Amino acid sequence: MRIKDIELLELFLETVCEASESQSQDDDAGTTALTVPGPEANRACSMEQQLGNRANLMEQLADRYAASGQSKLALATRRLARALEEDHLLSSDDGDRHQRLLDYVYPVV
Amino acid sequence: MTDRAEHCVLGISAYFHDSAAALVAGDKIVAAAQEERFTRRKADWRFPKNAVEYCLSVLPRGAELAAVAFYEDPSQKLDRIVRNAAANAPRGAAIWPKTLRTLQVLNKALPEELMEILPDPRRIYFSPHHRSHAASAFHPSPFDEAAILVVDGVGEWATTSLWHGSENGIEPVREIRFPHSLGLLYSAFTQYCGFRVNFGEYKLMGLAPFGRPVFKNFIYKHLIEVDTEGGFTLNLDYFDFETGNSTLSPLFHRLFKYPPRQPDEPISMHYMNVAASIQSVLNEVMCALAETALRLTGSANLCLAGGVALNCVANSEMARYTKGLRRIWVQPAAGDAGGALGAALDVSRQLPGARSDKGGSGTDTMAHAYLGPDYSAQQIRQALEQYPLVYESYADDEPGFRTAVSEALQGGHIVGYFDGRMEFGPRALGNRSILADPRPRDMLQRANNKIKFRETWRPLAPVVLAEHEARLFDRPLADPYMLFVSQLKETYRSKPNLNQMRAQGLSELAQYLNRTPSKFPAITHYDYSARTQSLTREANPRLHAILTHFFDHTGCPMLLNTSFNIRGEPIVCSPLDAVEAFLNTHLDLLAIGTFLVRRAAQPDRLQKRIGKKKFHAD
Repeated sequence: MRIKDIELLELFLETVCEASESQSQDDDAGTTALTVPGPEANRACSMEQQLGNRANLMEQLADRYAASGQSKLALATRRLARALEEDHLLSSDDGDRHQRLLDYVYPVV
Repeated sequence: MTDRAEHCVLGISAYFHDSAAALVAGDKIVAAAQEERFTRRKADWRFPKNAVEYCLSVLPRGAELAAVAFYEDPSQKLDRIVRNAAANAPRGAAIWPKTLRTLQVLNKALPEELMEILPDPRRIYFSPHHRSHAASAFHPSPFDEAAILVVDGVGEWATTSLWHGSENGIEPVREIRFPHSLGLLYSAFTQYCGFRVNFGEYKLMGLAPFGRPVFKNFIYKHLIEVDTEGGFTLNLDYFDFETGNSTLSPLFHRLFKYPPRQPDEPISMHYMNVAASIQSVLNEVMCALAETALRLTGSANLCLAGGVALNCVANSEMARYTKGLRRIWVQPAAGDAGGALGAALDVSRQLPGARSDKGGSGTDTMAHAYLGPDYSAQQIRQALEQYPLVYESYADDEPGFRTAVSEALQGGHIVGYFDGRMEFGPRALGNRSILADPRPRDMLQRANNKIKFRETWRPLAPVVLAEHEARLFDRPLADPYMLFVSQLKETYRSKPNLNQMRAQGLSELAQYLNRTPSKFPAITHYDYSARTQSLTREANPRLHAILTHFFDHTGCPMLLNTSFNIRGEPIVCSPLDAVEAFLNTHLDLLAIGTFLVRRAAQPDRLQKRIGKKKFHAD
């Protein structure tokens, strides 16, 4: 296992695993049949509106989580945003992403 | 192109599959193209720098770029990915690096790329994924009012959505959210049958007629629960796409008692039956969703988009059997590439001072999907002389050109045909096409083995003179975009039919080859279906003239029409791409602009190139 892999795993444990207690499998997702959509599906908005007063979209998302009382998710998202600033963590995505498509897997992430 | 000074919006789709750019001026579609055509990398997902450059190069005189519209809302997508990762943790560790990479792209690379085009965050817009699809389906459609159905794998949260389109724009009506997804379900079966996800869904559809839907009830019982409105829930125990490196979980394999087919394995009856079964389920759910969309909106018109709307068998079932349906229109670039167009049209209508020309004129505004680059005679000549090739040159609209092409086709030659603006979307509609006589028994095999280098069981499609189509086919509607299947009339069918072949004990796909029960075996599938392109003079006068000449001399009003590409490569874009494809295949003739290049006239050193190039599986 490379140092980079260990760093990634640590990040996994410190962020989404920490936040997982606050999330159930179907929390706010996986609505089981046709439902009336929320207002977010109904409009296009500008990058300026999306960013608010934040430097990037992840930080803005963390603010939204915090404002709605989802503190663990907010904390995890802020940590992720900081980690993603470190370019060494993720090498070139080209080959890997190509491999994903070759892997016969639908890339939901 | 319009010369009217008007606000223009550039639409972009990227970072998932088949990235693209589109340019609109008000409601008018100026240009649209997929990035893969320029980079020569099939379904290229990277930011579409080349497609953007092309679109901006045709910005109308006096117009300026008012906005850039991206086809997804990255905040909602980030939300879905973060929540999903947290909800499933500690599962998901295996795809964690991929998850991070996507987060990084959405958070950093995407805003930077967009700002490079238009450095003003007030004029960069994000249109939600399904809204972009819905806009691409309704705004260019021939309707002034319609229900809209969008079905795909997933964008942000929605996987299926119903909308209502009217003069006031588009309004969401209902949706189904991730992870419950009809597109993902179909992709799971694509993987199970040994085809590449996001590439091989059309192969699964093509495989279905060979089988019987014996697993249909089994699929309803174990994998997908469907209510009377077409709402559905997947049994997630059988899928691994949320957290793993496979769409299928091991339970899925056990359920069907056979492991997933490996890509190079023969296709047995089991996989044919599986394909038939999931296609049947898809048809039924899509019809139920279509009926619900019409009922909830009170409309008799239906527009479709999303990757699942490229399933022309399901589209045809909807056209034939949906209660209350009067007219149907499918966005020809129904997949993610079309999202670029939808986002641009959607944002364009929301800009200050925007006006809509939409009036339900009865014709769509897609310009027959001829929205990509075209090339001058000088550019074509340069490409031909680069090798150099021996060629014949004709004056514009010279009858000798169409006569020569038609006579080559009558003589059994296979023709690479390159003319005018490139098509937008996955289908070649006569400007980047390979053409041939559909009647000879060996034509399908020749085209598949010698030109396309692809599986011999897959049928090719016909382009038909619109005025003769109804004589040959029972069709759900006259469709210029190859998005529906027609049934060949009884008169033109031959024996043995598929049931008789099954009765003879044929159990592997290879045993069916070259036995298409049709007088037009190159363009008919084994169930007598054909994915027809209905061609009018107005849509493509030059191709119409060639086909008319062919009909006048043979009595056959259609040609085999398949995309001008080689296996694993995108459809050709430039004259040089066409020349390369010509030189690397057994095409007999290249008709390019007003030039003809005959294989037999080329020097030996070029003839020897054929068959040397290695092709990737698709």
